[in-house]
Amino acid sequence: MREVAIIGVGLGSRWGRFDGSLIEMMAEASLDAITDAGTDEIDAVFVANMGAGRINNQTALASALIDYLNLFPAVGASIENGPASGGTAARIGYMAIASGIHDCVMVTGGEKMRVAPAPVVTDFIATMSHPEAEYIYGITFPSLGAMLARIYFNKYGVTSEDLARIAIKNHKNGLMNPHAHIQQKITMEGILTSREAKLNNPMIADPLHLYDVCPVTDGAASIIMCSLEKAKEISGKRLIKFTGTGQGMDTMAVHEREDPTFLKAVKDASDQALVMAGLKRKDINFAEIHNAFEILEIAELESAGFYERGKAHLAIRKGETEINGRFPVNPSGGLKARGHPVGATGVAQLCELVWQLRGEAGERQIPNNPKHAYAINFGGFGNNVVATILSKT
Amino acid sequence: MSIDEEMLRPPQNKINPENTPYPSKYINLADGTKMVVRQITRDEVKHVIPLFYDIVKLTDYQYYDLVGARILSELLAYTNYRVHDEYVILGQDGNTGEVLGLVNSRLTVNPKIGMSLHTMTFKRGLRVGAHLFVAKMENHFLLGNKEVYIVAESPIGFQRWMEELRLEPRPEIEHELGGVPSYCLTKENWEGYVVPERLFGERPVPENLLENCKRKILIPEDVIFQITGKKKEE
Repeated sequence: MREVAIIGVGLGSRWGRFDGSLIEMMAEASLDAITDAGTDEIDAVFVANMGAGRINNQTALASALIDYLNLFPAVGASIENGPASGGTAARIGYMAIASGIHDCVMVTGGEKMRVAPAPVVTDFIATMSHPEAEYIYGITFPSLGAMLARIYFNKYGVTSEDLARIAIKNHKNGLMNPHAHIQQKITMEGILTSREAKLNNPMIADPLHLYDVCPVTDGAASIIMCSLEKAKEISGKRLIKFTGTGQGMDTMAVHEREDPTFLKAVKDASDQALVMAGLKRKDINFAEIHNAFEILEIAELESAGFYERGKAHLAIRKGETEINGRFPVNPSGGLKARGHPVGATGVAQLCELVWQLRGEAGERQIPNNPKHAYAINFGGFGNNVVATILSKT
Repeated sequence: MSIDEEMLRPPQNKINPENTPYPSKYINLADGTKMVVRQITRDEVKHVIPLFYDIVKLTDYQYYDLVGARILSELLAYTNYRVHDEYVILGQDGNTGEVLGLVNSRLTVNPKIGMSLHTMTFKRGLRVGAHLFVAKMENHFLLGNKEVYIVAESPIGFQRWMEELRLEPRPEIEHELGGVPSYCLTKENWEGYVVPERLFGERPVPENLLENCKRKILIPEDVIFQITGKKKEE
């Protein structure tokens, strides 16, 4: 197997609402990545997207993107794996290069969600749930997040204040990220402890409040990968190696899991990625965690093994996950502040890892020269998860 | 024939003849801002009017041109004494005086019924509009109205007022904003639902915050960015 490096990354314009087409949005991010890589000699394009067929009335996105950017003779395919589409597409891109089938691959994720009304978006996301055991009974993803939070509250003593603390941290990081959809400071008083917090931060699905959940976002992200050998020839940038990838699965219906607070797919994906990278958990310097709901930041950190079960919220109380903390989490602002255009998220996480490892993250740069970085891209409600580890060469 | 301009002015306010202003309050917003909510005078309204010359140019964006134009006309009518019983309430950042949102309304279709006019927010994402709308309703009920007629000119307005505040449809009433069918906030709904669930704010306002707001009505520089998410150069 050949070693693989990421040589270019891009997120296009600021996430939030994009007035052009889905393909234009993905092209913008792709061109940023191509510019960053310094090459457009791309053999293959993998496009990550979850719902364009439904909410944008468009399919065959890879063909459309290759055509729009005139990347011929590159070949391509679209990859749908729920909110883990981005991580999955990057993993497939890695495999294509490592196996020797392709030399240079572009992975672009994008989702244009704000064209649809909120009930349509909620329903489109809910189609990832178990069709007979969950969806037909009206389950939504905020309600699944709420049930997970309630169990966490009862079992481990996590509180609404803990979730608010994570949101405040992620909003603070998002303020330093020019690509972030939400660039707004929030305070504990404003969202939780004052009387008016009831209106400022209304309950979405008890016990989750508005600021405990991610926004609906348009956005795209792109990475260019090639063999490490080729990267050394063509790239003038610090090379970032794709050192580990793992994928884990779990039951589709959450109630079939023995302990819903243990995310087996997160553990399996993380274990595989760490073994492949030849690293221990203590070697990882920071992480991008898939926090569609802030309770997931806690649950994924624990299931991935970075904290003991029931202890992550205690570390968060001590500030360990702040940018200057012992183990920074979501320096980009995560899904909460950067936003969560589902197909783009897994790719955007890798862009953030690259910027941080190169030392190009500006105001939100993690100190002390980080060497190894981890991302978890969470599909379904934890039934299909991809973990990735990137390292400085 | 010479006409005395004062002949063109509306009669004295029926239920608030002394023009007692809405009692100011302040509200903690999600970002930590202390928003001062206060009724402004005709002279102060003149400072705010220029904002709307920019907003009316926002065509094809969530009805801002329509709503902006109507507010502009209502504020001009107010400063020129061509509207009966109007009042204007501002939300301002208590530290800087920056205008965060504006609401206006008319007290008396008759002494028991008020007519809500408009709500516009210049700092989005902080529920400024939700707080200010409830403040103007509070003024209606403080001054003795039993009902307030309300319409929405945008889908987001319909969601915020008709749905969230559970307003009663009154299709037989033509609202003065275009004659479209009205909805109604009744005193019963006000006391039973809106006051306990939606009415917030502390009184009195600390003197320094109130003084900051009176001293300077700061027009937000990035109002178009706040509304559309797009910077001027885009």
